[in-house]
Amino acid sequence: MPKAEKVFVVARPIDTVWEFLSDMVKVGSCLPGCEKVNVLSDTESEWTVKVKVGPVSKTILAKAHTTESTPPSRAAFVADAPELHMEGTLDLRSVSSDQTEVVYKSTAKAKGPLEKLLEQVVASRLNGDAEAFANNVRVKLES
Amino acid sequence: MPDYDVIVIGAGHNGLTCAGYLIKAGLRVLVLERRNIVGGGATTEESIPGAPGFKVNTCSVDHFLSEKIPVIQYLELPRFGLQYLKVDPMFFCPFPDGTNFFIYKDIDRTCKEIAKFSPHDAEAYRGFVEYWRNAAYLLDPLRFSPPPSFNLLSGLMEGEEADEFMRVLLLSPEQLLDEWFETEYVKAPIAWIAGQLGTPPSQIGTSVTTSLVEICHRSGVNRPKGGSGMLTQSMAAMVEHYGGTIIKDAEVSRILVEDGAAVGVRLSDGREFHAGKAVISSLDAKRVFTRLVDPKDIDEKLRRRAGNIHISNISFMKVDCALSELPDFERYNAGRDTGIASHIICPSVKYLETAFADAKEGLPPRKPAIWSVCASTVDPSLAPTGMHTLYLFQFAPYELADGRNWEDLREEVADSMIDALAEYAPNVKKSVVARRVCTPVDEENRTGNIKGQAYHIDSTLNQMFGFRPLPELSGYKTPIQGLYLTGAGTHPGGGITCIPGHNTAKVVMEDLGLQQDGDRDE
Repeated sequence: MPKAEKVFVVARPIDTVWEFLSDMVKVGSCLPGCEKVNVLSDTESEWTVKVKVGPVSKTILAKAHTTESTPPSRAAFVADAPELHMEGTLDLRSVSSDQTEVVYKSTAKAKGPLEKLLEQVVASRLNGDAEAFANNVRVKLES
Repeated sequence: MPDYDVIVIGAGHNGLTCAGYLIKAGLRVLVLERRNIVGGGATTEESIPGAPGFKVNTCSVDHFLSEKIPVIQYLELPRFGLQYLKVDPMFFCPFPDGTNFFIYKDIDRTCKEIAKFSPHDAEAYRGFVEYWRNAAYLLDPLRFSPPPSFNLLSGLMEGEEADEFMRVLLLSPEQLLDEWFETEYVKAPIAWIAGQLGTPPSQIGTSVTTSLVEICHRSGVNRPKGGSGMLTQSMAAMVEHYGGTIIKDAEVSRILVEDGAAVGVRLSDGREFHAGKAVISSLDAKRVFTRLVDPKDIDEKLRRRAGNIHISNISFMKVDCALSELPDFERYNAGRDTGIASHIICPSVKYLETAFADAKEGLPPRKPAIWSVCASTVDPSLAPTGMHTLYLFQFAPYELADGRNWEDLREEVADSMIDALAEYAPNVKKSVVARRVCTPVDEENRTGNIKGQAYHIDSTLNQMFGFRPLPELSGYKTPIQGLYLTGAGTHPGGGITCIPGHNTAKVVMEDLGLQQDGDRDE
C-alpha cells in the first residue's frame, strides 16, 4: 500500500501549529487540489479534491473522520471516497518556544473498478502531495 | 501431482519476466521454448553467414523503457550478467539537402540542434516533449496495470482538458505533428520513431505513438552489453538459478484443458507437461485460440473473434551486415557521433507514408525508410576488433503482390536497403563484408509470430488498451480457468519493456493469493 512520510519544521509555537492543523478548512487550503471542505462537526468533514493525473483530472468526494485528537501533539484521521481510502497522522513536537516539528504520515489504498490504475497513480503522487502539503503549511503559518 | 505449478509457453522477454516473478513468489515454473535459444524478439546471435564473431541483434536492438522499470532490479538481472550501455546521442537525422541534427537525451542540447534550422520547431520540440511528459502521469500507470475499459476510463476524464486529450489521442501522428511543427526535418524523424509500432503516420488514433520520443528523453536509449539477447540470457539464468526449468526445442502444439481448466500442454513431439495452477502463453491470442486450444474446449464465438484479430500485411525486414568500416556521413560534417547514434533515414513524413503504403499493398518499399544502427560502436564486443555491425530495418510486406515470393526478391530488396543508406553514407556499400537477410517470412519461421509480426498483432486503437487483444481478454485472463496471456499481443503492447510479463505475473499472483511485492519503480 502506498505510504508517505514527511517531517518538517514550522517556525511557530506548537499551540499555533496545532490550532492551524485542527482547522479542517485551513488544512484543506494546504492540500494540493482541494477545492472545498465542508465541516460537519468537530470530527466529521466532507472534502472535494480535484486530482490531476497528467492531462486529465478526477474529482474525489471524500468523507473524513478524526479518529484521534490529543492536543497539541497528535491527530489521526481516516478518509473514504468511492475510489480511495486514506489514513493519516500528524504528530507535533515542540523543538523550541517558536519552532514545531511536524511528522505527517499517510497511507492510501485505491479501490473500486479503477483500483489497479489508481493504485499506480496514488503511488506516484503520494510523496509529492505530502511534500506540497508541508510546504503550504509552512508558508501559511510563517507568512 | 503435476511436476510444475506453472507452465509458460515461450521464452521471450515477457514469458521469462512472468516466469521470474512467479518463481520468486514460490511457484515451480517450467518455460517451454520452440527454438534452441531463448529470447524471442530479444536475441543476439552470430548468424551472418561467413562472418564469425559478428553478433546480430535479430529483432530488437534498443531498449527504451526497460532499464527504468522495476523488473530489472526485482529479478536481479545485473547479478546474472545484464549491464546496460547508454547511447547518446540517441539519433542522427540526415536529410538529402545536407541538413542534419542529433537527438540527444538532453532536451536542451537537442533543441539547440534544431534551432540551427528552425527556432520555431526548437521551442515546439521542447513543448512537445513536455506535453507527453505530463501525459506520462496517466500513461505510465496505465501501462503498469491491466487496462480498464474505456467506459471506466471515461470516469477519469472531466472537463475541457479531458476532451482535448481525447481529441489528441484520436489524431494520427501526422496530424499531431502538423499541429506542433513547421519543418519536415523535425516531423519526419518523430514520425519514424512513432512508426516503430508498425503503424503509418496517417493512422488515426495512434498519435500516442509519438510519445515514444518523450520516453527516449526520459529513459534514454539503452542497449545491453553483449546485445539485446543479454536481457533474456540473464533472465533465463535467473529463472534456472532459482529452480525454474527451461526446455528448448519444445514447441507447444496443444494446451490441455480438463473440465474448463488449463492443466498442461502437449508438445509437437508428443511429450506432455502438467501444471497444477496455471498455463501462461506469451504467444498471441490468435494462435492460442485458433491453434493451441482444441475447438471443443473454447466457446465458438471467442474462437471466431480471436481468429479475426487483425494482423496486417505490414511486417518488417532486416539486413544485418558485417562491416569493414563505419558508414561515413562525410558530407554532413557531423563528426564521429554519427557512429554512436541510430540513423533515421526518412527525409519526410510523406516518404514514410509511401513506404508503409507500398508495404500494405504487398510491395517492398520503393524508397525504403530505414532504421540503421551500428551497435558495435558503443559495444565493441559485438564485432571483431576494427570491424563493425550494421543493423538495417524497414517495414515490409509479409505477402507480396502479384504472387511473387520473398525467395526471389530477398537479395534485391536487401540491396535497396543498403542503397538507401548509401545515399547518405556512400562508403557503406563497399564496406559490407557479409550480410544476413531476414524477410518477413524468415522472421515468421524464426519466431513463429504470425506474418513475422514483432508486436504479434496490430497496434491500432481498436487493439490497444482495453481492447488488446480483445476486450474480454485484455486483463490477461481467459475464459479457460488457469489460462493466461502475456507478450506483445497483450497490453501495453510491443517493444522491449517487460511490462506485459510483469502485469500478467501480478494478475496470476493475485488469483493464486500470493504475496504481491512492493516493486513499484521510481
